[in-house]
Amino acid sequence: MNWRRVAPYLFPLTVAVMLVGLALLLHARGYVSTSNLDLQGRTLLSMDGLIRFENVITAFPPVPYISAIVLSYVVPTGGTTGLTALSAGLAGMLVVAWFNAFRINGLSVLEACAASAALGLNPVFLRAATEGVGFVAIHWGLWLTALGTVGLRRGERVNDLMLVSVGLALMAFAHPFGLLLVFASLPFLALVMPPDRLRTAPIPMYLMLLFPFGFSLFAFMYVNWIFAGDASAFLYTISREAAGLGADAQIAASEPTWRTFAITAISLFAVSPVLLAFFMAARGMGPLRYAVLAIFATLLSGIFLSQAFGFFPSVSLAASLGITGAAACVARWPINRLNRVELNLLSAGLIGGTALVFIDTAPESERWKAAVMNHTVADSDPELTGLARALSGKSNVLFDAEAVPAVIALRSGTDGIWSGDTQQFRVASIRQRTDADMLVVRNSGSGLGSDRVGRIFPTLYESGATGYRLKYDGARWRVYEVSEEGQR
Amino acid sequence: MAQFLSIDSWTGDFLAERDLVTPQQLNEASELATRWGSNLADVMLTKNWIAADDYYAALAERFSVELVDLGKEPLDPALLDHTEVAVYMRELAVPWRETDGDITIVTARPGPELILYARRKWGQNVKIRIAPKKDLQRAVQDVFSARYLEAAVFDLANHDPVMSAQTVFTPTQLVIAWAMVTAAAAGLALAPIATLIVINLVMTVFYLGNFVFKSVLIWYGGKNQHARERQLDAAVSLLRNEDLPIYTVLVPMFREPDVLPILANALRELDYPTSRLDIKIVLEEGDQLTIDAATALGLEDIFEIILVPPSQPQTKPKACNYALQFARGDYLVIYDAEDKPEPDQLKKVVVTFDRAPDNVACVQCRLNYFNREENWLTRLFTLDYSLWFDLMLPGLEKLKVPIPLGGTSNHFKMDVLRELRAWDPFNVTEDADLGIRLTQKGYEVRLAASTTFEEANVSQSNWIRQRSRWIKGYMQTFLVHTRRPLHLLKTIGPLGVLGFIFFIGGTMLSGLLNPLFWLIFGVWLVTETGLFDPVFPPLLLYLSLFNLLAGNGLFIFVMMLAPFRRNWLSLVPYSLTVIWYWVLMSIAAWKGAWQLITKPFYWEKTEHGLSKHTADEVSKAQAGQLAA
Repeated sequence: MNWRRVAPYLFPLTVAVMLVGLALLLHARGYVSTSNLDLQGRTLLSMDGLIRFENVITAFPPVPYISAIVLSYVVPTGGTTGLTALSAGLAGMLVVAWFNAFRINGLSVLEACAASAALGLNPVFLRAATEGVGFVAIHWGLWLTALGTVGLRRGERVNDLMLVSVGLALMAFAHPFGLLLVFASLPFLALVMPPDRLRTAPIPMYLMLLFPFGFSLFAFMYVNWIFAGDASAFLYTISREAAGLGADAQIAASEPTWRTFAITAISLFAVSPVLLAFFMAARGMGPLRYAVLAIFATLLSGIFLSQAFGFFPSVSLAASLGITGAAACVARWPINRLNRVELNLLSAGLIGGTALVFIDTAPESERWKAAVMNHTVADSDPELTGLARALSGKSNVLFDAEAVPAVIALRSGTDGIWSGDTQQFRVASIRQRTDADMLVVRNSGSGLGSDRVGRIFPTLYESGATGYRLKYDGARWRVYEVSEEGQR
Repeated sequence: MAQFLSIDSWTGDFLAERDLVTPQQLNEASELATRWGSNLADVMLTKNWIAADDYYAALAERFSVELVDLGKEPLDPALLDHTEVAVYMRELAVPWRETDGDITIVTARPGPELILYARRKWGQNVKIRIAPKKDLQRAVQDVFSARYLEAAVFDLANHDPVMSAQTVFTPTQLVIAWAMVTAAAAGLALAPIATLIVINLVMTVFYLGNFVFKSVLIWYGGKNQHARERQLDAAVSLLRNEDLPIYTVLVPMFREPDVLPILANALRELDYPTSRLDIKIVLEEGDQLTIDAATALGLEDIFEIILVPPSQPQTKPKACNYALQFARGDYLVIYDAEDKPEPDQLKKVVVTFDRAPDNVACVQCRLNYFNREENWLTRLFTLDYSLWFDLMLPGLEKLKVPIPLGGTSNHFKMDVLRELRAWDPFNVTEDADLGIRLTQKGYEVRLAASTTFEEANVSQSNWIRQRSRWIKGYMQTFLVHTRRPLHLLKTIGPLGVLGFIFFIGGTMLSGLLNPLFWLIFGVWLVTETGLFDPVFPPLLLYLSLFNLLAGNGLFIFVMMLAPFRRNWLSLVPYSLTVIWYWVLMSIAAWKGAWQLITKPFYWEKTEHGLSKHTADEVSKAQAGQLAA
């Protein structure tokens, strides 16, 4: 091994290890993101065969889902700890990638270490690293896209084109927010294309940039058509739970909150003031200025769209993407035009990031802060925690677990669950009656409507069933347990 | 090396006095000769300012020596030494007769320097006669044709039999193939489902590896390309003509009389001192049409024409091997008849060789097409070639994986080419084979950013013929170089072996396997049969689906990227239709596989000159010729 080449990487590797360590520390203090809970629940269900193979491969977003399944093959007992370590590890690898790119761009070892540490240890990035594989995959996708964005118009290299297009595809299939970012990027891709080629061949240029995304989408729809009988089946699997936004919110589109949008936009500057500095410094360097503008505009438009469609993550998570955008600028900025001011502004982003996580009042961010400060971490969704507790250790439970996989993660397994794809559930569905010991049903009046149990027994939530008594009563979920009378 | 000789000014004055050239032509020729480091006669002949017959008659008169008709009074073979052929060709002086121990030589370049040279070589009493250059060259060829023909065919097979495709399948390969088929048959009989799963898994993993490898190549191929190109351009501008080495240009042709004007024009346009070019048009003796066309164009006065005697196998590598023995350059390049190399290509290659380590023995230039917009096939073929030469080969170069050389525009160091016994005449993609052989022998291949434009096939049947030969050649190459797997591993390393398997093996095998998978997929899609379910357990099904979707998507995507570098973006949408191109490729692969068994050395001839662009090019070339 060539130690002279490896030695400089020890520092970013240390940052990466620190990220993983911090993520695991927060996990130990009780912070598990909602998205990780949901993912872990789905993984347990699919690993135990309670979700059909068809449902596994048609679920959206596939990137975190497949990653989690692969992880559970490799480390079967990993649980949410494994998922946290995986997402933080991927975030750590991103820091190493930043360092590597900075070195390639000509930064000294010291500068590259300082820059990658300033970016990687920013609290909002740590927040993103603990959010889950999906969100970290957005960071990876944005990193590739932004790298290509800064380089494409300047160098006209096919590699930059590949980076942009593959990055977009990765973002789209990593997270619903990523998908919206891709849509948001469409008008701004024109800014990064070489002008002569845009003028003479705009359609081929768009075709090249969007083909991986478009073809992946087509392929995914095809898989849905083959296995689910409906090319758009995956749309029904897009949920706020999977996006880590909590189970209690509505999927329906909500009006964009201008205030939140403005706060997020300002936060983006606070976390990565360097982006603004780069934009200002690029006077007279059209390709670079357009690239920075494209990155910024994509992020802002993505945030706007996510609010419009009800998939806005949180201010600090959305702002964390500015860090990756800034990293791409540092990695591709002409080294002779890269001033110490810009590098110092990376450190300034640390302050902005720290302030932001304290200002952010989103429930998930509050839980995260509590874990950071070693306070008691609230449950992500007390109703689901209660539901899981009610089901803990029980068997013969008729439960549409796919509708709320986090409960499976919270009760640490699928033992005793008769979920939608089991024989018992199908029999109950056909015969309209069951001999289950427990029945779990969702309120048809909740935001997500009835679950499959509710569709078999339409009056169950409201009226219960003969021979069953109410065991758990929530606003969205109720659990009925067989009574002594029923047992007889 | 040709030089500006003192005799030149005498000869020039003499020709001007006799009104065979004008004073203006003489002045210009002197300037050019000085600038090129050439001699006056070569310049005037090259420029067509004087007819060769007139020139040699004047020369004989000027020196008062006899002009010999070598057709009627041929060379005495006993006086010639086969190891000296390159010297004869370089000095244009050959022993002709011996009388009482005194040698009479014939020369096409008389003068004081020649006399000094001849006296040193053949003694003080040497006598001199004059013969036209083309007659002299033809006479030397006649003397050695039988011997050189034998060498052209069997040299590699005799000296390095394990590297020759003369034996298509070795006994060991046959035994291994038999064992594999037997094992598969036994498996299918005893545990059919498990066996099918294993076979399916192997093929799936192969597909996955194939497209991952090619993606990596494209990624590496695109890195730092522009910087290298700029450096190369800068270095070329610093070259001085007088420092340039002699360059042999071989142009093997067979039944291609129509494209000769393109070739002649393209060669004339090369930005390289003419006197330092040793251009050999290599024709088959029986190909009277092309020979007549070459004669009618007066090409013999400018270029050397090598006539290859008839023998089997009648392949391009055999013709090149034959011509190689008359070559006198330090470097050698092969062009096809319809090729239009960029004018500065030779200089770029010289620079590339100069800047490369000593073990770099070959420089491959890029190939592409001048008739790309002619029809669907030419567009797809252009995408294919752009992907291959602009993206994948640079990736191979960067990863130090053996590069299968392309059909033309590969430039060699002459000494290494001879050391390796040149091309394998039994391999129908001799260039690809040579690229791998070079790497196995410790040499490297580099790429130079210069393009040779060719005529893309406009007809699908013609394309299939051409591609079937290429794929058959890849099969031959694969069989030859996997005869000693450990040796292969030792000489080209694990990455090289991987690259060889995926790049050579993958190209041919995917063509063969694709129809099978398409068939399974088609039947499944149409009938929704459960017949294949046991063979595709869930994980494998997912992997196969991934291959089907991601693999096809990726290959379409990389096809799309291929024209980006050249800014030929109008071709991009056509990449969406590549599936039919793959179908053609599979037809060609199966045809190639069939021919490997039935006619392994048969050279499936590609017909050139079908394109309407070629007709335009011919017109342009003819106009250029008239102007010259």
